[in-house]
Amino acid sequence: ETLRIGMVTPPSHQWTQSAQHLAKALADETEGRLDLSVFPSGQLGNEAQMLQQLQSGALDFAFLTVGELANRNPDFGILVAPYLVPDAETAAKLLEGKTATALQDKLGGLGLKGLGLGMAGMRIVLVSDPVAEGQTLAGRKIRTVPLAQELDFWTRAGTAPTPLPLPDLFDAYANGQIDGMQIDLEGTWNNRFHDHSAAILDTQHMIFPMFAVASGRKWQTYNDEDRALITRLMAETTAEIRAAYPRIDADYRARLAEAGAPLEKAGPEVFGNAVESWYREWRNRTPLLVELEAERNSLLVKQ
Amino acid sequence: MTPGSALQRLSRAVMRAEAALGGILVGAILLLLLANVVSRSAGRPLIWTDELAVHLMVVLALVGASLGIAMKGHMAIGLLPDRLGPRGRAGLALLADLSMLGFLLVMAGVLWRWFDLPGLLRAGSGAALAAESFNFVYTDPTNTLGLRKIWFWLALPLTCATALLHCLAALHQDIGALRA
Amino acid sequence: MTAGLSFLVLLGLGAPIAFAMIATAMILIAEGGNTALLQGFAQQLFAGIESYGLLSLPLFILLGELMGAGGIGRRLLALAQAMMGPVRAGLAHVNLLANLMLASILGSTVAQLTVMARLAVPEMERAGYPRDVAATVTAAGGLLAPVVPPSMNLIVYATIAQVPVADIFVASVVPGLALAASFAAVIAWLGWRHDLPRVPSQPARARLRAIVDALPALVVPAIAVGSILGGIATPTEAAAVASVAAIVVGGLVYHELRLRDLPAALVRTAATAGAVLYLVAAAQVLAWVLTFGNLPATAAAWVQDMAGSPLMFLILLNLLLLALGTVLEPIPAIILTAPVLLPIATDVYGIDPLAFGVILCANLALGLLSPPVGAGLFTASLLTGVRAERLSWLLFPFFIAMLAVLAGMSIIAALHAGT
Ligand code: NA
Ligand code: NA
Repeated sequence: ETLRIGMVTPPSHQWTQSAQHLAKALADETEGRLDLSVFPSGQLGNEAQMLQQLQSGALDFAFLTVGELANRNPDFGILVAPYLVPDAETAAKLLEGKTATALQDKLGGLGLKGLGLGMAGMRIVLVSDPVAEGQTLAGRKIRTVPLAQELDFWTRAGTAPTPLPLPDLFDAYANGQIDGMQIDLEGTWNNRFHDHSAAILDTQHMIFPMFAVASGRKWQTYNDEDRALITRLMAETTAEIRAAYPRIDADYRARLAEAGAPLEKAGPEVFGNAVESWYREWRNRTPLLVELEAERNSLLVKQ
Repeated sequence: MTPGSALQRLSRAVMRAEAALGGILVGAILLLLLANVVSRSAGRPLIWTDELAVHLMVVLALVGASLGIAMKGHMAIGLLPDRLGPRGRAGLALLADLSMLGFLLVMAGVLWRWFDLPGLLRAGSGAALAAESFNFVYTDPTNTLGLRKIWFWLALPLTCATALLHCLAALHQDIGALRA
Repeated sequence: MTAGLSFLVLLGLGAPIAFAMIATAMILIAEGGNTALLQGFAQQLFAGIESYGLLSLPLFILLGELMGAGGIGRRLLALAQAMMGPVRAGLAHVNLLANLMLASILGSTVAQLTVMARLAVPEMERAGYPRDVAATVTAAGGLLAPVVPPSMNLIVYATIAQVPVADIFVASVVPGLALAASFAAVIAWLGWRHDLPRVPSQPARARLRAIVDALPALVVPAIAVGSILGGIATPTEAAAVASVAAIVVGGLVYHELRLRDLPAALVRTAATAGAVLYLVAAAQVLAWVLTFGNLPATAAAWVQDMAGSPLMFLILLNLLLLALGTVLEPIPAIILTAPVLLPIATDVYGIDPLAFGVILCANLALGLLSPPVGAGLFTASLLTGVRAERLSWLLFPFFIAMLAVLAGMSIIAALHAGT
């Protein structure tokens, strides 16, 4: 039987690589009975399209970022809370915790079955003009994705959040239509955005979570044995991804430093008082956030 | 007035309305992109303009598809018709328009299943339909517009209906040409 | 099999190509048995063109309409003529040069072609060129847009291959200029073959008048370029800004465009853009069904099985891409093929990802003009009234020139492979 998994990341990206490992493991363990085809780079469409294909049962699995999910249920947006965790290691642990796992149950309402959480690199900020000592990012046009929680954060920081389609990003940054962007170290290096940046603010201010999901409709058609196998292998796959990112972040940080890129440490002060006021708003709107924070606190105590 | 000529007149009236709507859509897209430039230059970029412009463009494509049938403006390969006499051409046009009718009817069926009106009535609301059958057609959101997608998706059944009208009018003409 | 046959029968009957493609996609689904795809079919038809990049299509068609109606195109061409000596097929060379300059600003063939079709074709006809030859030269010039940087195709490839956009732009400069040079050679040959007119020599006073008269017209392209480089607008938005400039210059300076002409220009734009966009939507939905059927991976496996050396791989690659380009649009074709072919090119044959990307993008750009299905071909046909069949026949020498350039690029890439 041929199964399909889709994602928007390119072939060389960790998510795609891990999906390839999953395909191999699935073929090995079933002696070729389950053949998983991997469709990277949005070959099957963007995330909204893949979501629909999962809902109708045309597509079996996908790695989805949080955007389309949070657009349908704001609870998913708690995972992009600013300064929720200090680093990628803690992010990986929090995504394994009970709040994140419980969040997966909400996928049922969207016709999906959750099979684990992954992540990409911690979010950082690139700016084309330097940020002076004591200055905030206020007044700059920052490219973000149109996700309510993120837009709200950047608005509270006094910036003008500017959604731009990905293919326009390079030209827009080089020509000055935007003054900065939120991205990760890997994306910075691969696109050579550091060549156009006055500063790379290594803020690590946000997790970039990913949900590994199955189509609810297709899930009902697999037998118990296959379900157990897929559940186990998918859990291993997301664990591999979570484990990889602290290393990937460190690796690209070293490469950028070696290339003489303008890396700077920057704390929450560059966002003004956006962090506190964001939490006041979203603890109200999505009370689940409070639970997630409590879980994070206990994680940090243990460390 | 015969039913046939009423059909022709209705098709032409709808065609004029579609052309006008198409012009309005192009004008609206132009204004939205200008609004983008102006608002970004003023340091207050508008979040929703891109998404609205893109959605209007898709509606433009769907209206254009229906309009193209009425205006015979669609691209087609004309190698075979060129080699035939007037009667042969009329026969071929009839066959082409019949295949178009078949296609539009299948499309209407696909749309009927997707919009699932009986299911909606039975379930009582779009959200109930989604919970019951994983069909999210009435609940899917846009990203930045604060509108549900359905308001744009409605262009699909509407233009399918107008395309059917134009197709029937064309078939009526084909039959007239064959009789002449 | 049934699907392919039905496609040919529908085309033979003279049914609209867009509908033939969508019907074929439906038959493919019925054949493949994944009928869940039908549930999402209509939504996919909608979503296939729900893309910001495509907005440039209606806007540049509008810009072309406004520049034509406002007398801006005529004056720009007169300016170019005034600066040109009595060369045979001089206007056709001017057309190519204008295309090369536009290509260094624009990244989309259809956008470029629509502007040039409204600008150049009427003027060339007035100067004694057969309309079909004028339309052909204009359509061919549009091929420079995605090869000469900047280019949407190259940006999409760079995103997939994770190579820097700036690097792939640099890598495509020489191939872009080689392509322009080969087209100039074809135009020279066409000039001799069809006895195309020379630009008549003009007295100095007439030249000066043409230059002065064209100065306000120059504002329109200057604003388009300036707004992009000045960081005010994206290339798509630049078409909107330039459209406003065209209305102002055509209306207030040349007095050729009246306010009551505007609705007609909008409606003409809507009819052309609507038909072309729907065709793109149809191609997208067909590509989507083919992807679900795992066509890209199957084709990649075939290429890998057949090829024994980097050169052989590149030859098969070019053949495969040419075949895909007959029905697929470049950007979906890049998204379908690059992820499966790139790892083979780099890991198995040691081909430079930049060289590979430029070959892939240039080859697939040809698909916009190659019959039976191509948005560029159809736009040129709709705007000039020359039949698509006739256009593709006349374009043949340009296709040959482009294949020669692709062959050169492939040989160079193969020689550098593995090092
Ligand atoms: Na270009
Ligand atoms: Na083609």
